[in-house]
Amino acid sequence: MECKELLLQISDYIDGTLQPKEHLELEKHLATCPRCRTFVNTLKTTISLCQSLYEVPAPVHRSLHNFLRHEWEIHRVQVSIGIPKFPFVELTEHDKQIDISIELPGITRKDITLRVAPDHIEISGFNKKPEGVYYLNEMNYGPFSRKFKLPSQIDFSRAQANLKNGILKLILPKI
Amino acid sequence: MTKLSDRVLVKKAKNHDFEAFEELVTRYETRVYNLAYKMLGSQEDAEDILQDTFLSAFKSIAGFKEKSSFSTWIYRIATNACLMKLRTKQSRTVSLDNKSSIITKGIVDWSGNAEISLDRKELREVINQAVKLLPEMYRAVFVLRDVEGLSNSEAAKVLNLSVAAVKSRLHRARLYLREKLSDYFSARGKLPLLREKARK
Repeated sequence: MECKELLLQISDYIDGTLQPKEHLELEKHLATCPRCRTFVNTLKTTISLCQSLYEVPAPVHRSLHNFLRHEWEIHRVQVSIGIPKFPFVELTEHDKQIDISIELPGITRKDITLRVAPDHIEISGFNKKPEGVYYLNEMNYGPFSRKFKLPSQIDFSRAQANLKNGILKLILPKI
Repeated sequence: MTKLSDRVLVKKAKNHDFEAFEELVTRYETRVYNLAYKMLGSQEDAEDILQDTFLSAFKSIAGFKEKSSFSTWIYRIATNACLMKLRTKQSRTVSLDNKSSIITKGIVDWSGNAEISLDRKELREVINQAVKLLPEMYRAVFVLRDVEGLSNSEAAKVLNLSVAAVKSRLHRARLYLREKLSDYFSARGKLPLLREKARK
């Protein structure tokens, strides 16, 4: 092996990724060539010197965590209002029925699942994000659900549901 | 909390658990900071990248498909942020594409000097200046491999390069830096070297 060849393989040699045969040949050469030995030593030292790690300064660490906590809170509030997580609900009780309005802007009928029981109701679904490359992306998509207890027992065989202009209206006659 | 795997923490963070996200930040902030410091050569820029990386991480964690590890994902965000910043700076770099640019002059064995006694602060500055002269992709490969300790295949995933491309860039970057450190140590000659305890 010549010094030139060693130069090409030196990085693999240091990383231990050379084939056994090549590794052996290179070591044979190193045993007889002080110049290449020096080269290998100085290259290894170069790598180890570059490894010295900086600590994140304590004030930087603190302000990073405070900043992220603050941003997280803002983000949480943004996603928890309106669609998708928890749609807003209005419920009024009358003598013979309960009226419920649920804000579901942009949602179609097939995207809504309504589960009912005599004393509670659950609305859930998924608001799919349209494909596209977004220049601005502030709308909320994903799953949504609301579950709440009803103030009176309901006769669901006579219940009516109607989705219009982004509001789901439920008229639920009492038993 | 510290015993949980990254994968579990990611799941919790996706479920709006800030404590879980914060644990991931704590695990990776030193690595991101060092990556940015070595890539950009300034503490101020490193602080900006640190903040931008984790802000961007929590805003997009819901869409993180977990095809790669969290570590690869966060390195990718941080590296891209560094590369973007470098492009706006357009600083002077050397060309390493041509093999002849890596010359191997005067072989003096200074490896002992560096090990035994070291003026860390000055040397660190010399290293930072030399790394800054590496073209951006060589720099990114070198920092991910030799500073951050990623494997060839991990670095390849972060940078979207083939393993062969990572290896050849790493090889040239290392030879170039060795050359620069050789210049430094031969210029110092027999000057008394200061001993300074290395920060862990």
